[in-house]
Amino acid sequence: MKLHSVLRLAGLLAAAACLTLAYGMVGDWLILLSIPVMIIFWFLARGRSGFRAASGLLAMYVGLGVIGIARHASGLLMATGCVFALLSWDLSDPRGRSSVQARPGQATLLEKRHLQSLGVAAGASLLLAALASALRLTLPFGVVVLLALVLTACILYAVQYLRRSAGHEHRE
Amino acid sequence: MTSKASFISLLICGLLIAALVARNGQVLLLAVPFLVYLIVGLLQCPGDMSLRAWRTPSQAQVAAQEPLQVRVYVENAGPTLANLCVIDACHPAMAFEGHARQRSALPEGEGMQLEYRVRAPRGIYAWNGIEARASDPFGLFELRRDLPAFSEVRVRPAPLKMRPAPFQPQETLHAPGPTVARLAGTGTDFWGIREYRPGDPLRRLNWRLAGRYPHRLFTNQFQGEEIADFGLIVDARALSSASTLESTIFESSIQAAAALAEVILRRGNRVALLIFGENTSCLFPGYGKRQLSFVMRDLCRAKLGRNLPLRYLEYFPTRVFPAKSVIIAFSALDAADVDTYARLRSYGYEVVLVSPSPVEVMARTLRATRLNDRAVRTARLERAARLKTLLQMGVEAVDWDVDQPLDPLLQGAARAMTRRRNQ
Repeated sequence: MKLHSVLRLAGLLAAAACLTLAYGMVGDWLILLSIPVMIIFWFLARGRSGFRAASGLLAMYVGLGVIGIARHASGLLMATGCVFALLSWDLSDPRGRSSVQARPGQATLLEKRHLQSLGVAAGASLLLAALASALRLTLPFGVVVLLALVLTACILYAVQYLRRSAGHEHRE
Repeated sequence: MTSKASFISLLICGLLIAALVARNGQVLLLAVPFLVYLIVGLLQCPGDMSLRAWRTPSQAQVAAQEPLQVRVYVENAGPTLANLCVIDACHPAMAFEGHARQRSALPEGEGMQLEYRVRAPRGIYAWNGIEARASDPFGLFELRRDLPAFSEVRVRPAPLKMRPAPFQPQETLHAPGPTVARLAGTGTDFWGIREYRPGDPLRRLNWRLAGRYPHRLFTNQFQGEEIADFGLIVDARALSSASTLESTIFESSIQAAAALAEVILRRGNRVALLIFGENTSCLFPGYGKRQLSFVMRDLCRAKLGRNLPLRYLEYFPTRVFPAKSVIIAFSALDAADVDTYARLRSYGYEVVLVSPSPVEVMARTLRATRLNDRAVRTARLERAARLKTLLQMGVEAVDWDVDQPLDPLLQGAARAMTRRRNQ
């Protein structure tokens, strides 16, 4: 439980540092005013639902990342910041933590598996982001649109399929 | 798929659209962590789960608002589940203490236990199953199952202190019991003297009288003690639209009926029960613990219903209440019911009406204004007049303020009934 809180805070700080650094490198300091805005938002929204507030914060962070990239900030730094923001967001979700009354062994196992999976996801994401930023592919716009449409369709299909199968299992 | 996974999918789609609009491939870099996160979750989503569940309430019967301990045990007979959430959903009327939901990992062959306490109002409560949700460690993709674990708990009306009321029916059943019969029998109270008949035990001979009348013998007779028949009628009609008032009155009636049935049955008498409302339930006369259990079951199930006139009682089979038995009715007393009580008296029943006073319940909720005071006073007078009419018909009416104990009123009513008969 304590480790979760420490990691969540560390993730938040790292994400904020990445954002600051990326914007600082292009000399766009004014946008950093959004960080106190995000903190105020967090304090105002966490009273209702901590996880929803964290989701709002993550969406805002991604939005800032997109604006940063549009202003020629480093994509790799922004992606790294997104990894830490995602890590912090996931750790704020109670679904990843065991209940207070769970047996110690079982509780540790859930948290261990959760942190392991999170570590794998973060590591793979950083590696893929680094690889992707190193690769320079130039594709025609039409191909990019087509690829994006195919990818969106794949995601939507996967989501629908998972929803349908979950519904079937629930009925059974 | 949970809301968490939907949110991540939405972010990925948003980033794709943003990349297209900005015509900047680097924006897609931001989508990489989310895609990887989703894929890692998907890969660890459990394929199936094989769980068994048991639920054991600490008691099968409790009194209303008495705490009931519930234990739920879930055993994993399949592969290890990294993230399992077990939820035991209870009836909304039940008040919780503790945790009816638990989340942890569950290794193969191991079990997890939930413990919580509930308090519930009168009724019969059933749990059908236990909900189990297994998911990947992030909680992105869920697999839901309803594990069969049926349990039922009967919540009896809250207990009411009551002593056995000495009601004396006109007729008793010819079997040894606790009720004083109007016949000579095998009891202990002196009843009378008659002339000796061959076969009378010698220890019952009245020697003093034999001394006074030479050549004649007399035998002492003792009062018989036999089983009596009691019928309980619980009025489950909603007579007005004031739901809080109606439910207070009804719950008090149920409580009193349960306490009285218990006292009567524990003394060895016979009890029949009729709950008269939208769903009318009828229990034929019976004795002992079994009958007490049936009475409690019916009282637990009883619900307030639509307003039917009490004269419908005429259409009920006479076998429900044996002739000349004591009928104890629990009703707030409607103006139209007076004729029904008169008819019951004309059939030869001894009728006692325990009437929880709606006027007193209402008076406590009203503000103390001059108008309200007058209204309450008028309602009290109207009710007193109605109860007096019943008394004149030979119905023993008990005007019960539900905040006061019922026992002294019932004792008084039983004594008054005996006095009236002896006059």
